[in-house]
Amino acid sequence: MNVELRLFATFREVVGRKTVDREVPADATIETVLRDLESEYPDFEGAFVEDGAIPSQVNVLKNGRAVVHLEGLETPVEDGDAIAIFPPVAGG
Amino acid sequence: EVDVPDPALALEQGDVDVEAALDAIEDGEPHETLGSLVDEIEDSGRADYAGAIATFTGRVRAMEDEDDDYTTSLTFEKYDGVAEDRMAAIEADLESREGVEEVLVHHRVGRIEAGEDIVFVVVLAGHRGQAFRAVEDGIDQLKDEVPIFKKEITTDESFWVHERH
Repeated sequence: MNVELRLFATFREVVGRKTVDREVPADATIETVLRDLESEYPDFEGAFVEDGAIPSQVNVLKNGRAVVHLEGLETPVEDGDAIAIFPPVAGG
Repeated sequence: EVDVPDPALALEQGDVDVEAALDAIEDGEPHETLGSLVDEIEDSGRADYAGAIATFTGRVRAMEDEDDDYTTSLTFEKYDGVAEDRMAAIEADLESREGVEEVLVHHRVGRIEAGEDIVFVVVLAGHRGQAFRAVEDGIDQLKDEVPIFKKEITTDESFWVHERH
């Protein structure tokens, strides 16, 4: 199945694009997706999963909802999900 | 002597995608100003109940102090869709307060030059205390909750603001 990753700010600059389509296994979770991205881009090594959790300065949203309010790294991923990954917000 | 092709600039038909340009304009955000937002809130159906309009304007600060590098511009990017949803949630949350009749929150994106406006919070309320509190809480919530990111360009360098604070 496929998911769409949306990256912002410094994370977008590492990848060079705003969105990336990724194929993930049928039983994938948020952790699968984050580790997959970490292994593809050396700049992301250790950035998204640290001591079994998502670091506090990293925001991960599944279809607009923060995964920390879902099941964290264990949040299941479904075909067509939009997964956003971004650094601390800095509007205003 | 420099060899310049004649004409120096030639556009082949098809170079300009008019359809795409029109789509981009239609998809673009309306140009809002503090004035346009105040005008809009004054037309609220709840205006008869309001004795106060309070506003906050965030703008591009060129210098923190006299020794600071001059900030020439800030460039903002936002998570389209989610940013609007969260700003709408902030408006709804503040509007649920006693005495707060209507709230407008607007944040510009793209490159904004020194001295230009970035963000507006406009509150229509029964009394001034309710209006002041809603304006302050509105901008604070926006800074905490809305997925918008900014890159700062100074005379010497450029950097993402979230990496410096």
